Parts: sequence; C-alpha cells; structure tokens
Amino acid sequence: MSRGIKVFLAVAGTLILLLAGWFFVISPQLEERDRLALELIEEEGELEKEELRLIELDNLSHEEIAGAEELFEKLSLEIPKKLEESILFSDINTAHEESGVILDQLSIDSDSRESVSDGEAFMVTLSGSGSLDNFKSFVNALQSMPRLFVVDYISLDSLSEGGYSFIVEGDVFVRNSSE
Amino acid sequence: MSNPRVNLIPSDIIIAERLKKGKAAASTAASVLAAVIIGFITFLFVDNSIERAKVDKVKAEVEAVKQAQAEYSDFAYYQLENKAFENFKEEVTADEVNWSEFLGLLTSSIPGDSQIYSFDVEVDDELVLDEDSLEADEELEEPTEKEFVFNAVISTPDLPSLREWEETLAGLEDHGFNRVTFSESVNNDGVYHTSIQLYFNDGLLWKRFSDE
Repeated sequence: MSRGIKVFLAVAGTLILLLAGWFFVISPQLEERDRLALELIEEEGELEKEELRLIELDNLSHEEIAGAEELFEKLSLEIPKKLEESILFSDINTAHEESGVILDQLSIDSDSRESVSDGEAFMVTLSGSGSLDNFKSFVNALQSMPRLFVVDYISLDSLSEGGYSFIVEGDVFVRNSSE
Repeated sequence: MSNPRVNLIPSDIIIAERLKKGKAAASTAASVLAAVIIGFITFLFVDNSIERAKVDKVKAEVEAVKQAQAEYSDFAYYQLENKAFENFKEEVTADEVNWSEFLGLLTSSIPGDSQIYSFDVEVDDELVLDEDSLEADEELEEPTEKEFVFNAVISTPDLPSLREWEETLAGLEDHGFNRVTFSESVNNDGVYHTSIQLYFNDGLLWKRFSDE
C-alpha cells in the first residue's frame, strides 16, 4: 500500500471518528447540558416562588386564616352546592315581610336550569303587589339576601285601587365544587 | 571564506530519518488531539452530572417547601375556593342593575306631578349597536357597544312637557343614561299616559363584585 493511500486512510478515518464522536457523544451531551441549565433555572424559579408562598403563609395571622374560612362559609351560603329550596324560600319570605309587599306567587322551576360558568342558574319568579317604595325595598332586600339573587326582569303595573302589581324574575345559582 | 561541507550520509538514510520524525510528530499531534477530545468529553459528562445533581437538589428543596406548605392546606383550599366563588359572582352579575337605586333615581328624575304607570325591562334584552346605526344617530355623542332599553309609561295630570322631562332625565348621565324617546301621549280618563323608552349604556350596571 502506497504512503499516499495510507495518509488518506488515516485522515479519512480520523475525520469519520471525529464526526461520529460529535454526533453520537458530544452533541447529545451539549444538548443535555443546555436542557439541564434551563431546567435548573425553572426549578430555581419554582423554588423561589414556593419559598415566598411559604413565607407568606408563615406570616399569616390566625385571624386571616379564620377569615378565609368564614368568607368561604359566607360564599357557600350565597352560592351553595345544591338548590336548597327551603332556605331560599325562607330568605325570600323574610325579604317580602320586611318590605311590606304582598307576595302572591313565588315559584322556582328546578328543571329550568341553565349552565353558567362552573355552576347552574335556576329561574325564580315572584309576583305580588305593593307601593312603589315597598317594591323598591323588596327588590333591595332580594338583592341583599344571603343567597345570591340576580334580578334580570321586572315589570310594574299600576293598579286602579292604587299601588302596583309587580313581577320579578331572577336567577339563583348552585356552584359545582372543585372537590 | 568558509570551508566547503559535504553531507556524506546516504540520501535513503536521510529520507528514512525524516519519515521517522514525521511519523513521531503525527503520532504526537494525534495523541494531543485525542487527549483534548477525551478531556472535553469527560468534562461534559462530569459537568452534566454536576448540573443534574443540582437540579435534583433544587427539586428536592421544592418538594420540601411544598411539604411545609401542607400545614396550611385548609387555608390554601379556602383561598382557592374563595377566589373561584368571587370569579363566579363577578361573571353571573356582569349585567346586573341595582334596581332599587335605579327606580329611586328614575322616580326622582321625572317631573313632580307625574308617576310611573307601568314599567317593564329585561336586562338580557340589550341592543348591540353596529357602526352603521351609530353613525346614523348623531345625537348619540358617546356611543357604546351595548344599550339597555327600558320601557315605561308615565302618567301625568296635564299634557307632559317633554322638554322638561328630557332635561331632568339628563341628570341620569352619570348612571349611563344616553337618551330618551317618547312614543305617545294619550289622554285617558283625565290622565295623560306617555310611553317612554330610556336608553342606558354600561354605566348603568352595578358591578358590585368587580372590585372585590
């Protein structure tokens, strides 16, 4: 074998070895190095976030912890997990008694549910009569009940004997729990 | 003047010596290159394993901090649920009107000798105005995307002064009042009934939970 061929084979072999080394050893290791560097940054960010959260939690007073629980209970009354008609009717009765209107009809159609956000809305219809001031008080009481009540229709008609007849339609809600 | 010098070593020995030196240099260079490459690869492996160990350590620390947070899991649950409740309330009350306040404003804005005869409104029945209708209506100075339309019949003992009504209703501008249209005025048993349509924009909406 001539010397030239030997040199050529040596150079070619070295190049092939270098290329194989690059593609199968060095390049994957460099990629792994970049991936690990990125993962380290992400994990350090996560650690910082969680540590701050822990400091925040450690600094909470007992009042704040109790406050969150109380707020949860209040909100659970505003938007319970079930329709709980008896409690709702009791709230509405309190509202109408305080306002002085005469309530002729109170109905809730438990089948007429409509999906909203992560819960459902049920339509409540109320009709009755009273003075305008009484009606305003009644609507105010409805909108201030422990149970969230969103009025979306009202109708007033003056009566020949004085005062107004009214119809109020609104929604009460139940919320699907994330549990 | 220097003396002449002659190399008496045979040329084939000189060539063999040069080849030997060349081979030695080549093998040295190859050894150095191989050492550099092996060193670099070793460095990469070692460095990567150090980085991996760092990542594992930080992951373990994150896990430990999360374990420490578990002591407050009830609070975290309430906080998360309360936020979800607030979002829910904000969403379902997006089109809510404070009716008692609105009726109070309305009754105080119509002339003293008039009263609401009938009133009818459905909040879902808002108008969505397109650009053409906005351009066509020059009276609408600050057009909005939504308008809520209230139909009311007002009764008055005398022929109503529409100009006076327009002026008093303009006081509701802060509550989103845009304009009013009067449909008819009918004398019925000595009482004038006037149908009016009140147009309000989003300023009317209560948004009672939006800032919580």
